[in-house]
Amino acid sequence: MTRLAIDPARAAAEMTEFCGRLAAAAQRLAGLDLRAEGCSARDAAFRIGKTVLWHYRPQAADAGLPPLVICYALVNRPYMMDLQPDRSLIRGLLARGLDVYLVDWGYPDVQDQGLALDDYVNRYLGACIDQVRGARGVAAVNLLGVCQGGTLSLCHTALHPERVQNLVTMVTPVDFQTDDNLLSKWVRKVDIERMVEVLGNVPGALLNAAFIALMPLRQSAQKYAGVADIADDPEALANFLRMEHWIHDSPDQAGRAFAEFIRWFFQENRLVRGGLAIGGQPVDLRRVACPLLNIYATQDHLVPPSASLPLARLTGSRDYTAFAFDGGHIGIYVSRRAQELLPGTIAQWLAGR
Amino acid sequence: MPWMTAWIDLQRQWVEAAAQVPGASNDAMRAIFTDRYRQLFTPEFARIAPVPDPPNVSAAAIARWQAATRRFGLQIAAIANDASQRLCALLLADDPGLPPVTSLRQLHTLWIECGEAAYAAAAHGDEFAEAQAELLGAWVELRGASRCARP
Repeated sequence: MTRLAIDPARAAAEMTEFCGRLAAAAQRLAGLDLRAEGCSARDAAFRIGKTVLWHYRPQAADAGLPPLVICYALVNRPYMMDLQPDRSLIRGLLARGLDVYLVDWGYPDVQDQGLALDDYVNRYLGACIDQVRGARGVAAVNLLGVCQGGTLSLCHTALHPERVQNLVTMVTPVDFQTDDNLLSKWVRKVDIERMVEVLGNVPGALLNAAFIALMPLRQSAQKYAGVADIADDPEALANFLRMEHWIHDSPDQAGRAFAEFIRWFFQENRLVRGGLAIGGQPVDLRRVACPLLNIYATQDHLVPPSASLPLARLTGSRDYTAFAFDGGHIGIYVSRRAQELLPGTIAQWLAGR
Repeated sequence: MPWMTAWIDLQRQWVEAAAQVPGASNDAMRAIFTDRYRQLFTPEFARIAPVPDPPNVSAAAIARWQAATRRFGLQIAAIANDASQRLCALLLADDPGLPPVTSLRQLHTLWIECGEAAYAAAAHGDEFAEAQAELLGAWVELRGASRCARP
């Protein structure tokens, strides 16, 4: 006995229809041009190397809070935070009167092979924060670190606690060697120094392939079959294309910094085990004493909750809050629920401190 | 499994038809979608890059690459086999509570679920991680050797 009860005539009709829908979708997608780097008005406030500090124009009355600096990951592009008007964490924050800055690391090229984590954590992020402090006349900023940018933000705050008034981490890995972290299991086996020695910078496409390989069928076959379902919906097709553009817009990684990140965090798990030093200075999470909001996604396959939650016992903060978002690593930026929940949660938490 | 062979053959025909997108003048977009369609219908869990410029690189680098490819290929083959067995078990399950599979789309969805389950079971293991890392290492060496061999 089998559950398979596909009628050949119906299957042929289904195939014809499906094929037609895919072809129609492909035709419509080919006519779209949505390559925008964010949707909210902003100005370049500062540049250092290829890093740009963006300052967003206000959209509501000032809430009177210290400026919020968003530190995004080195992998992928930060416009995910401002993808389109109805899917923009940044717009949600602006609507609540926050003064928002965004650190955009740019696209490293051959000139940047020698950049170290010290450059990113101390020199570039430090210069951006100093710029904001000077421009807004504040001693310390609120810092929001996203994904790998959260790890960098934790390091910066541990090294320069006087510059950060409140810290928000979002889907941020801290313990890089938990059992359910597939990416970590793979990366731990890689000879990263040799890779960087040969390749120089690490191609973004290689990283992207690794991310897709975490769930290869869902992130290829299933996702693209789903395009047939939205063939008649121009808005859904535009959303799909924006996401695809973002997913495949992966900057190359500056070789030395990438090798340091893989070695120190993934392979040696130094944030947890100790021994991390950046720019010759020890990084001790117990020095992160400011109020800390740790936002994680319960279904995150890239940064599982088990990787984020150990921050509670590692930080020196006495005002630590964990916030669970019921969703995945991408949904936390762009899902409707994320738009409803996260900007308000962050703004309210900041306002209470 | 004759029905599986027929299914895959059918999908290939589908791919070819879908790739012939009328009016798709954007070559880049068309290439992307052709590639996507190929992934969509082929039970492919990982793609292995072709050997770059083999005549110019050392025999040792090529041999390492070949061994790494074989090792990783064995992992992928085992996953595909496991996925197929899972799908068969699901389709042959003697449970009146399970609904019949009446459309190709439902079958495709089941295939994805079985494929991901089989993949996850293998991908968390040491052998998969080591085989994948060795494949990457061999590819890196090949790139390095190819670069050195260029006049």
